[in-house]
Amino acid sequence: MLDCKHVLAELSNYLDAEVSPELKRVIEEHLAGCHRCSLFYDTTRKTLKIVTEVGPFELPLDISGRLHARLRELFAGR
Amino acid sequence: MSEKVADAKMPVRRFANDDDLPIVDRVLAGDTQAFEELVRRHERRIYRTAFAITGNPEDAEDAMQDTFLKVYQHLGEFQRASRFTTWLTRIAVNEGLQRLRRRRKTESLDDPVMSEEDIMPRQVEDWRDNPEKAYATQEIRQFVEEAIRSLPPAYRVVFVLRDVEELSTEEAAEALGLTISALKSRLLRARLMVREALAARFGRPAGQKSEM
Repeated sequence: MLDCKHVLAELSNYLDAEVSPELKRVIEEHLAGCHRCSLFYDTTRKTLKIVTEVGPFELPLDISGRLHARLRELFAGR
Repeated sequence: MSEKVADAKMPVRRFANDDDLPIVDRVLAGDTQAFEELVRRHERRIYRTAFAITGNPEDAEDAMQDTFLKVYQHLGEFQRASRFTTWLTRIAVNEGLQRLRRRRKTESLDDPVMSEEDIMPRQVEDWRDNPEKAYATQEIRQFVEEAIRSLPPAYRVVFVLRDVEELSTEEAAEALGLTISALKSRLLRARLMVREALAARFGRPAGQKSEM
């Protein structure tokens, strides 16, 4: 049986499905019986879901405009 | 561009799924419009990476501009041993770091000394159901931005590359010059810190029962 500390240490790998089938089974066994770890797992999973769902950050047009202006100066040999 | 172009055309190993390579080839053949196309594909992500490191909009813009100028001037040196995006990100990381160090002499992307206590979750209550439905998208975006901004740079950049920009573990490690295990260890801490920051917003108000 894994203890809470080890489950927490593997939480990220577990979320990324980067654990062996055996470790996955042991972690799931622990989560089923440990409210606290199950809560950490669930809220960390929600955190990543929210971060993904807010969508990509947009680059402000003026920042992009200044970059391309600088590139054109470079191309023109200035 | 330079005479090293010939080397670049005999790659060590090509990444079959790297769809930047045909554009890179056009740039190397002298097509400046192709370079602008390449920049448009990556500028948002490179700015985001530079901002994650510097934490400052002016430095991030400056680092992004210098990254693309360097890439244009040194594109012939791109060996294609990694994907173009990884090579580009690595240059942006270095440009960001230089500016971070100029501002804060002691700042680096080295792992800050953190004890296990520092990463142990403190917010242990459950979250309200569907927290993302309780706020407008714009508000949630702001919470996420604030949570990411609150991380130390060494963690912020790992979180942004992996969980915002969705680079693979291997690509993020290569771009940052970290081992896979160091990258993973920082990612875990970064995720727990972001979770902690969001928990302050999304924690269940006292008395609300879970429907789960």
